[in-house]
Amino acid sequence: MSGAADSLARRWLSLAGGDPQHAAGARLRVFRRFLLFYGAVRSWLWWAWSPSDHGLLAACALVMSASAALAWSRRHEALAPWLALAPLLVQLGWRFVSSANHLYLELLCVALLCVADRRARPDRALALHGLRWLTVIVLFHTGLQKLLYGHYFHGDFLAFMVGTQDRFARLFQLLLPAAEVARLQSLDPWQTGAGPYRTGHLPFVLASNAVVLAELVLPALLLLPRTRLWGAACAMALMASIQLGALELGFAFLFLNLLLLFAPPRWASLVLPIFAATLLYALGAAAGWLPGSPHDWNLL
Amino acid sequence: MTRRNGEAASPGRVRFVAALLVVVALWPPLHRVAVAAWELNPWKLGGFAMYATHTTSLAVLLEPAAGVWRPLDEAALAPPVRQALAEFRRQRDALGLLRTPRDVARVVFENEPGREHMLVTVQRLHLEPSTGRIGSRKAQYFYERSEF
Repeated sequence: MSGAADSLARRWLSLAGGDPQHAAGARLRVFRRFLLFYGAVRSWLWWAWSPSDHGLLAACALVMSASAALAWSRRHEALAPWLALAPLLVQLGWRFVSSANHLYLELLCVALLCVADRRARPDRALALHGLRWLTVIVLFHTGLQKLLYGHYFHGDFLAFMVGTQDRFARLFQLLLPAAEVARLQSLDPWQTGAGPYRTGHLPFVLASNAVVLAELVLPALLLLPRTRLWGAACAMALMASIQLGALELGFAFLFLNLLLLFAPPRWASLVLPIFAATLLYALGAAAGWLPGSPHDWNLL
Repeated sequence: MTRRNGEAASPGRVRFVAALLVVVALWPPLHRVAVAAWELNPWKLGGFAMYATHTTSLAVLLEPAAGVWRPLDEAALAPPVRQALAEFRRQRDALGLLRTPRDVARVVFENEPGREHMLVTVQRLHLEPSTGRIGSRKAQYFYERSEF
């Protein structure tokens, strides 16, 4: 990369900055602690639920746990993501082609955290800007993909989910008449020609289009310093409301914490115990010590 | 490498972060093209198209019987065949047309000496954007023992 390209890359990355350089370290510290703790819990759940390769998965979970513990040591915290890289790559390779997208996202976050040097503030700011850009790009692409597949203009995809998943049916019965929910649920999704998974009810169609619009517009709000807080708050509200239908806690936890990198630094510290408690609860439930079925929470 | 605070981030790290983000930004549109070309699973392989569309694949092994093709009784298949079929289904679900069932056929022929031909059919169900109805595409793979 030439000097001009270098300078362009610096300017581009710094568009996601704007806050004091000394704040980056504190933000990264909370995010690193969440991310590696999440990775450790996910790895133990993987070990517990896998039908095979328990030795390999236990080794991965042990290293991920050591990495999560290291993140709490101010002296060694910058080394923690480096330690997590190898088990993450092994896990990705182990389930490759079937891996969930949030595993790629987790790996990208860990790789960006590796950039942060404990001794150099500019590197910490660079890592923070990289993580923020990652958030912006992924959020924009989730909206763009929905636009490209074309199932949200008429609400087809959400209608399909209402017809096939009870959780979506319960959520969208607020916007759809009971008879329409019943019609969608009566269709056979395994039958060629079944449908239409389409409804003329305006509030439902508007909600469907609002999701896409929000995912396309909120990334811009996250980048502009003046609108960043509102962008982050709206994106977190969107992410939380999506969870009412799609219970995808793995992606949601990761993404909410990425969005918290745009919010006042205190917010992330305040909610970290809630995320940690939920993850510990999932472990307890997976072990059979607590009620609930974390298998359905899509943490892996 | 120790640098004083206030200096710029190292060029190597800037390049790494920029390159990583460029890849993340460019991959989803390419992923969309690959989904259209090879029927990849939109939800897999890092394209961030989860909850954008619905697709599902059904793979069935068929054998000739009285002039027609009928599904093999999967419960009666030898364990290596069942294992190969399960792995094929997992990979086919993500990789679409890029993953053919040739290895499954080989395992079938190895475990069933009397079998001379077999057919594998993969039906992919998806939501049609133009109608909102379930559409389907079928791919068929014919194999005979002499090929292996």
